[in-house]
Amino acid sequence: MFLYTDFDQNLLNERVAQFRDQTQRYLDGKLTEDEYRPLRLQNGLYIQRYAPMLRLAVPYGLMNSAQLRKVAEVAQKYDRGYAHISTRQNIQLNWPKLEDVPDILQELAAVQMHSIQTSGNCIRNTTTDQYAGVVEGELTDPRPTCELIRQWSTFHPEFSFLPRKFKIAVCAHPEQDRAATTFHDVGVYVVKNEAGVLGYQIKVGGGLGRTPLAGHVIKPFLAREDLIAYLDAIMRVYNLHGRRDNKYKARIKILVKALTPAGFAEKVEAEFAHTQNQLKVQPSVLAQMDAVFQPFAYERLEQQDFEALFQQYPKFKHWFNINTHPHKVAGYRIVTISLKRAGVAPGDMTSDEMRLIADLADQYTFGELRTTHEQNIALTDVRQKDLFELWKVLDQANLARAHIGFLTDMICCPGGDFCSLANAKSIPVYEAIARRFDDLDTIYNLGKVDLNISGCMNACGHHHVGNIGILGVDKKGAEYYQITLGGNSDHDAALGDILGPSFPAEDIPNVLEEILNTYLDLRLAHESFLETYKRVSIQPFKERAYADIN
Amino acid sequence: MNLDGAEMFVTKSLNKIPEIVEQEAFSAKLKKKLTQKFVNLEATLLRAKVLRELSKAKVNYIVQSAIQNEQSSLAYLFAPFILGNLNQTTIYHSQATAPVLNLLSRYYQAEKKQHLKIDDVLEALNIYLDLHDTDLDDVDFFYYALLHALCRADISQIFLITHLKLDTQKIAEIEQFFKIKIHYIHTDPLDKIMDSTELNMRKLLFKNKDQSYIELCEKLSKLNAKLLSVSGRYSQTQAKQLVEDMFYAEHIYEKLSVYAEYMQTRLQHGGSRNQATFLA
Repeated sequence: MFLYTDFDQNLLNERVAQFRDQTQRYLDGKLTEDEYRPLRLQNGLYIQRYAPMLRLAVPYGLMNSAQLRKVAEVAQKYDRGYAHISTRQNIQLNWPKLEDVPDILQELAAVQMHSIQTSGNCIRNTTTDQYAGVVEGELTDPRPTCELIRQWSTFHPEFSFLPRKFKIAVCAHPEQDRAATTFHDVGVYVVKNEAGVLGYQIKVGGGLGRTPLAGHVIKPFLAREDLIAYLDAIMRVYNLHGRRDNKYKARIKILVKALTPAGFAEKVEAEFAHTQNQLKVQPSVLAQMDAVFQPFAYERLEQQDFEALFQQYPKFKHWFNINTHPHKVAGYRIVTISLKRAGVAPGDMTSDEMRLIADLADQYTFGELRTTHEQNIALTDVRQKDLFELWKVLDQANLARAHIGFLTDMICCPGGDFCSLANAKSIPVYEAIARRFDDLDTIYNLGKVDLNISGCMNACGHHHVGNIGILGVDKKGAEYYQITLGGNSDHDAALGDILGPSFPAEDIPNVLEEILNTYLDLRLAHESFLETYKRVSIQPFKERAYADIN
Repeated sequence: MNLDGAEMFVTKSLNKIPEIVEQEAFSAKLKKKLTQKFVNLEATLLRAKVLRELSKAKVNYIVQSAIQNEQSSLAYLFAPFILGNLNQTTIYHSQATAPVLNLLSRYYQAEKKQHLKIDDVLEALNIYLDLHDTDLDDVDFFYYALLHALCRADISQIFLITHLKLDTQKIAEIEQFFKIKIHYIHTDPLDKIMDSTELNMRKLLFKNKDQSYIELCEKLSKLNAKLLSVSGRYSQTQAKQLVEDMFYAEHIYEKLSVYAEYMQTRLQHGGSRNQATFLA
């Protein structure tokens, strides 16, 4: 992974010192709330329902064990002993004291972590496929591209005060878009042109939130060395034309919609004509980026035969089949650690669990780990011969629930329990569903289903793109939940359709069961939930879900 | 088309159209306007009928009679945004009366005319509000809008929202001939809501409502629920609750504001993409 130079480290240290001074002046009453707000937001500090929330940057979801260990230490020392993984692969601390935040940032700076550009109207953390660089079938490793974007966008003076926040995602897998590029302000997709040369397809104007829109391809093929010039051109058009008078209409997706994608692309091309030569990335820089992500010194290993272990340990078999993923190097496997446990908020991990995962990363991989869009952790380079031992440790620690990609591996925002914007609680709904669908055989019978929960229409839980989405609605002071079906953030991206009127919280597990039973009754052989939904449409699901109410 | 008082169309079934409004046929003024607008209205209607049978598009067309101040039928101005939330493409055709403009002008310059291709707007937004300043009276405007609907090959259902008394038998015959669903929603001009100039859109379209807006929202939801229930999608109770959800979850606001943003941008630059920009 990219390691900071002395220059970077000094910059980080100075930033912490600057924020310490700003916070002290605020605490001393020398800065007003209005004056302090932009300063804290530039350092990832939100004021939530009960306490500040500090969002820590995890560039493209890549961390090393020392960093996770430090987060564990900080969470224990300054917070309530746990941390939360966000859908954009960052880490959040939900209970820090304001006066402790400079100390937290200082401790994190020691392991090259920070909160810069994790909030505010700037270019946020670039996200990517959590299996980037190691997964089979990828065209190339997208992380050098992410790092290039990170270096370009960090403290970029022209793009530090945009009309609104700006999110970029990168993906390089032709078959699976785990980065949900269609629903980002800019989606950068690695593609090959007819001559077999690698470059990028650029999508723009996607996003979820209160105005969910799928992005449009405005550049089918962009040469690798032109990426920064083209992104710069997009940002300039957005910075110039994006609205600043209405924050609800300030995202680039609104601008693209209003100008039309073709109209927006024309403006970008005009700007690109100016920036292309000036901002062309030199081959030496591209080579530097590639060098940072050279493959580890993998051992020459044979593929393992687990049949005997599978016979003896059926739980291990399930875990292997579901929570591990093929690695591009023979003899290795990618392991996803589930952070979805009944009784624990999704994406949360305690300090002890973080320390354990950090130790496992050191013991069984090259000391690296990934945070995932689905709010889990991936250990990407595990020797197959170590899998059984690793599973035993994870199982013992309640971190081996074999359900990655299945119904109970839900994406869920913090909701009304923490977030001051939320209309309704989402964690208790998650909890009720997790308990109702506790039986793994039931889950496996359903096959892969994405279930996403958001506590309000800001859609931090990405409900629009869940195969099943749940949205909290505050009606006359009571909490209701609207259900959408058919959403998808992968290729063939789609926003979910509203099933009908909302339900009270206590009805959600029953309604969900009806929806899933409808699917089971109607599915053809090997048909996924989404495939069945596309074939039969919403009507049969609606009839069953509202049968008791009619 | 015949202007001299004899039957208007050669195709007999088409002559049911001017009989839909009870005891009110096309006026001479309307006939003249139609001849100016359509080179051959009958051929256009028949062509649309044939193409509709081949079309996969399922666009809703709402024809609403003029909304006057304080009339509760203002509720239906939200109908295209409600249907939009259910992924139904909708054209809304009504008159640009003061209450309509009072409401929409808070979001864009709705009173300004622009020359946009309806299909372009539908492709981008799934919604188009076709608002007219007109010298036609209520009956003529109603017929004029209905004919526009019938001339489109992509329409699958038409909602006729009006205080006019319609002949449901004639509607059924037109439905059968055109193979199109037509829903008649009768409005009461005496049923009142608050003056549109006094409407607090934030209370109406966002979650925090005081008692008067809770009641207003219930009323608007109940009226709009008819559109969803007559088209067979939901029971009246379900439909009302669903529409009410949209008033609380900001879904209607979102559709309306994105529509407004698009129209304002196009309006300011005459539809020219090259020079389009936003108001600062």
